[in-house]
Amino acid sequence: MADVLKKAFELLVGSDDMTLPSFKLPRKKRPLKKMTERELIQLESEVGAKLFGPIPRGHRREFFNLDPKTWIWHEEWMDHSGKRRTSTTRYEVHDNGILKAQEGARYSFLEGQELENFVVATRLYYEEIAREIYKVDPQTGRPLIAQTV
Amino acid sequence: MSEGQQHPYLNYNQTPVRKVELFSTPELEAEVRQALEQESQEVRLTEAQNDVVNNFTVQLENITYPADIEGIGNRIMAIRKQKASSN
Repeated sequence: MADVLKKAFELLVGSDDMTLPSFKLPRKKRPLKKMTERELIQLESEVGAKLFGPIPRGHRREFFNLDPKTWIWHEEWMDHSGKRRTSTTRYEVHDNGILKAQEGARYSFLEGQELENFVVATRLYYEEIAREIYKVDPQTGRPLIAQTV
Repeated sequence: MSEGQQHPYLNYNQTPVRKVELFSTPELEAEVRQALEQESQEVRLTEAQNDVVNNFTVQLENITYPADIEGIGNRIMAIRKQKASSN
Protein backbone atom coordinates (compact mmCIF):
# COMPACT_ATOMS: atom_id res chain seq x y z
CA MET A 1 0.00 0.00 0.00
CA ALA A 2 2.83 2.32 0.91
CA ASP A 3 4.54 1.60 -2.40
CA VAL A 4 1.42 2.49 -4.31
CA LEU A 5 1.16 5.77 -2.52
CA LYS A 6 4.82 6.45 -3.16
CA LYS A 7 4.48 5.78 -6.85
CA ALA A 8 1.38 7.91 -7.06
CA PHE A 9 3.25 10.73 -5.37
CA GLU A 10 6.19 10.35 -7.75
CA LEU A 11 3.82 10.54 -10.67
CA LEU A 12 2.27 13.69 -9.38
CA VAL A 13 5.40 15.46 -8.17
CA GLY A 14 7.93 13.86 -10.47
CA SER A 15 10.49 13.37 -7.76
CA ASP A 16 12.24 10.33 -6.42
CA ASP A 17 12.12 11.69 -2.91
CA MET A 18 8.86 11.44 -1.12
CA THR A 19 9.45 14.02 1.51
CA LEU A 20 6.57 15.50 3.32
CA PRO A 21 6.53 19.20 3.99
CA SER A 22 7.73 20.17 7.38
CA PHE A 23 5.16 21.50 9.79
CA LYS A 24 7.59 22.65 12.44
CA LEU A 25 6.45 25.85 14.03
CA PRO A 26 8.98 28.65 14.22
CA ARG A 27 10.41 29.17 17.64
CA LYS A 28 8.90 32.03 19.52
CA LYS A 29 11.26 34.75 20.52
CA ARG A 30 10.82 35.01 24.25
CA PRO A 31 13.70 36.93 25.76
CA LEU A 32 12.02 36.94 29.15
CA LYS A 33 11.29 33.25 29.14
CA LYS A 34 11.34 31.72 32.59
CA MET A 35 12.66 34.75 34.37
CA THR A 36 12.18 34.96 38.07
CA GLU A 37 11.31 38.19 39.84
CA ARG A 38 14.92 38.40 40.97
CA GLU A 39 16.18 38.15 37.41
CA LEU A 40 13.66 40.75 36.29
CA ILE A 41 14.96 43.07 39.00
CA GLN A 42 18.45 42.60 37.60
CA LEU A 43 17.22 43.60 34.17
CA GLU A 44 15.46 46.60 35.64
CA SER A 45 18.62 47.56 37.47
CA GLU A 46 20.54 47.77 34.19
CA VAL A 47 18.01 50.32 33.04
CA GLY A 48 17.99 52.08 36.40
CA ALA A 49 21.76 52.44 36.50
CA LYS A 50 21.70 54.46 33.30
CA LEU A 51 19.21 57.02 34.58
CA PHE A 52 21.89 59.09 36.24
CA GLY A 53 24.13 59.65 33.28
CA PRO A 54 27.28 57.83 32.26
CA ILE A 55 28.75 55.46 34.80
CA PRO A 56 32.36 56.37 35.61
CA ARG A 57 34.97 53.98 34.29
CA GLY A 58 35.65 51.16 36.69
CA HIS A 59 32.38 51.70 38.51
CA ARG A 60 29.48 49.31 38.74
CA ARG A 61 26.16 50.82 39.55
CA GLU A 62 22.77 49.40 40.36
CA PHE A 63 19.56 51.23 40.98
CA PHE A 64 16.36 49.31 41.36
CA ASN A 65 13.03 49.05 43.04
CA LEU A 66 12.99 46.20 45.54
CA ASP A 67 9.39 46.45 46.69
CA PRO A 68 6.72 49.17 46.74
CA LYS A 69 8.43 50.93 49.63
CA THR A 70 12.12 50.27 49.00
CA TRP A 71 14.60 51.49 46.40
CA ILE A 72 18.26 50.52 46.31
CA TRP A 73 21.30 52.33 44.98
CA HIS A 74 24.50 50.31 44.93
CA GLU A 75 27.85 51.43 43.61
CA GLU A 76 31.19 49.61 43.44
CA TRP A 77 34.53 51.01 42.39
CA MET A 78 38.27 50.78 42.97
CA ASP A 79 39.92 53.57 44.91
CA HIS A 80 43.39 54.99 44.14
CA SER A 81 45.10 52.24 46.09
CA GLY A 82 43.28 49.57 44.12
CA LYS A 83 41.04 48.68 47.01
CA ARG A 84 37.46 47.76 46.17
CA ARG A 85 34.92 50.14 47.61
CA THR A 86 31.18 49.73 47.82
CA SER A 87 28.36 51.99 48.81
CA THR A 88 24.77 50.95 49.28
CA THR A 89 21.97 53.36 49.92
CA ARG A 90 18.46 52.27 50.75
CA TYR A 91 15.56 54.62 50.19
CA GLU A 92 12.49 53.79 52.23
CA VAL A 93 9.09 55.28 51.51
CA HIS A 94 7.52 56.33 54.79
CA ASP A 95 4.29 58.20 55.41
CA ASN A 96 6.24 61.29 56.42
CA GLY A 97 8.86 61.22 53.67
CA ILE A 98 11.64 59.29 51.97
CA LEU A 99 14.19 57.98 54.42
CA LYS A 100 17.72 57.53 53.13
CA ALA A 101 19.63 54.83 54.96
CA GLN A 102 23.37 54.39 54.43
CA GLU A 103 26.09 52.34 56.00
CA GLY A 104 27.15 53.33 59.45
CA ALA A 105 23.60 53.85 60.68
CA ARG A 106 23.30 57.13 58.81
CA TYR A 107 19.70 58.07 58.31
CA SER A 108 18.16 61.21 56.89
CA PHE A 109 14.96 62.22 55.18
CA LEU A 110 15.38 63.44 51.65
CA GLU A 111 14.64 67.07 51.07
CA GLY A 112 15.14 69.83 48.52
CA GLN A 113 16.93 69.03 45.30
CA GLU A 114 17.84 65.54 46.42
CA LEU A 115 14.21 64.71 46.99
CA GLU A 116 13.25 66.10 43.60
CA ASN A 117 16.00 64.10 41.92
CA PHE A 118 14.81 60.96 43.60
CA VAL A 119 11.22 61.55 42.52
CA VAL A 120 12.34 62.12 38.94
CA ALA A 121 14.48 58.99 39.05
CA THR A 122 11.62 56.77 40.25
CA ARG A 123 9.33 58.20 37.59
CA LEU A 124 11.86 57.71 34.81
CA TYR A 125 12.67 54.24 36.10
CA TYR A 126 9.05 53.20 35.84
CA GLU A 127 8.60 54.79 32.42
CA GLU A 128 11.75 53.12 31.06
CA ILE A 129 11.25 49.63 32.41
CA ALA A 130 7.58 49.59 31.48
CA ARG A 131 8.43 50.33 27.87
CA GLU A 132 11.79 48.61 27.47
CA ILE A 133 11.44 45.49 29.58
CA TYR A 134 7.77 44.78 30.02
CA LYS A 135 6.60 46.37 26.76
CA VAL A 136 3.58 47.97 28.36
CA ASP A 137 2.24 51.49 28.28
CA PRO A 138 3.32 53.14 31.56
CA GLN A 139 0.04 55.03 31.82
CA THR A 140 -2.44 52.31 31.06
CA GLY A 141 -0.39 49.16 31.72
CA ARG A 142 -1.65 47.76 28.44
CA PRO A 143 0.72 45.95 26.07
CA LEU A 144 2.45 48.23 23.61
CA ILE A 145 1.41 47.71 20.04
CA ALA A 146 4.13 47.84 17.40
CA GLN A 147 3.59 51.00 15.46
CA THR A 148 3.67 50.84 11.67
CA VAL A 149 4.97 53.92 9.91
CA MET B 1 12.08 121.44 0.70
CA SER B 2 14.14 123.22 -1.93
CA GLU B 3 17.06 121.63 -3.78
CA GLY B 4 20.33 121.75 -1.89
CA GLN B 5 18.61 122.15 1.43
CA GLN B 6 19.83 119.55 3.85
CA HIS B 7 17.24 117.16 5.07
CA PRO B 8 17.15 117.33 8.85
CA TYR B 9 17.35 113.56 9.19
CA LEU B 10 20.25 113.00 6.83
CA ASN B 11 23.84 113.56 7.63
CA TYR B 12 25.72 113.96 4.40
CA ASN B 13 29.06 113.66 6.12
CA GLN B 14 28.29 110.12 7.05
CA THR B 15 29.91 107.42 4.95
CA PRO B 16 27.24 106.04 2.69
CA VAL B 17 26.11 102.59 3.56
CA ARG B 18 27.07 100.09 0.90
CA LYS B 19 25.46 96.81 0.30
CA VAL B 20 27.87 94.28 1.73
CA GLU B 21 28.19 90.97 0.02
CA LEU B 22 28.16 88.38 2.76
CA PHE B 23 29.43 85.54 0.68
CA SER B 24 32.39 85.78 -1.62
CA THR B 25 31.54 82.60 -3.47
CA PRO B 26 28.35 80.62 -4.05
CA GLU B 27 30.01 77.63 -2.38
CA LEU B 28 30.61 79.61 0.77
CA GLU B 29 27.05 80.88 0.69
CA ALA B 30 25.76 77.32 0.39
CA GLU B 31 27.99 76.21 3.23
CA VAL B 32 26.87 79.01 5.51
CA ARG B 33 23.21 78.53 4.67
CA GLN B 34 23.54 74.83 5.41
CA ALA B 35 25.16 75.62 8.75
CA LEU B 36 22.39 78.09 9.55
CA GLU B 37 19.74 75.56 8.63
CA GLN B 38 21.44 72.97 10.81
CA GLU B 39 21.58 75.46 13.64
CA SER B 40 17.90 76.27 13.32
CA GLN B 41 17.16 72.55 13.47
CA GLU B 42 19.17 72.31 16.64
CA VAL B 43 17.16 75.18 18.05
CA ARG B 44 13.95 73.41 17.15
CA LEU B 45 15.24 70.28 18.84
CA THR B 46 16.04 72.25 21.95
CA GLU B 47 12.56 73.71 21.95
CA ALA B 48 11.10 70.23 21.67
CA GLN B 49 13.26 69.12 24.55
CA ASN B 50 12.10 72.13 26.52
CA ASP B 51 8.53 71.09 25.94
CA VAL B 52 9.31 67.68 27.34
CA VAL B 53 11.01 69.21 30.35
CA ASN B 54 8.12 71.63 30.89
CA ASN B 55 5.57 68.86 30.65
CA PHE B 56 7.62 66.79 33.00
CA THR B 57 7.80 69.67 35.46
CA VAL B 58 4.04 69.99 35.33
CA GLN B 59 3.75 66.28 36.03
CA LEU B 60 6.16 66.63 38.92
CA GLU B 61 4.08 69.40 40.41
CA ASN B 62 1.16 67.04 40.45
CA ILE B 63 3.06 64.46 42.43
CA THR B 64 2.23 64.17 46.07
CA TYR B 65 5.05 62.15 47.49
CA PRO B 66 5.64 59.87 49.23
CA ALA B 67 2.24 58.43 48.31
CA ASP B 68 2.93 58.65 44.57
CA ILE B 69 6.34 57.02 44.87
CA GLU B 70 4.71 54.15 46.67
CA GLY B 71 2.14 54.09 43.88
CA ILE B 72 4.93 53.80 41.31
CA GLY B 73 6.44 50.99 43.37
CA ASN B 74 3.10 49.19 43.41
CA ARG B 75 2.76 49.50 39.65
CA ILE B 76 6.28 48.14 39.13
CA MET B 77 5.59 45.20 41.41
CA ALA B 78 2.38 44.47 39.56
CA ILE B 79 3.93 44.30 36.08
CA ARG B 80 6.93 42.41 37.42
CA LYS B 81 4.80 39.78 39.12
CA GLN B 82 2.60 39.52 36.05
CA LYS B 83 5.63 38.90 33.84
CA ALA B 84 7.16 36.40 36.25
CA SER B 85 3.92 34.44 36.52
CA SER B 86 3.25 34.46 32.79
CA ASN B 87 6.59 32.79 31.98
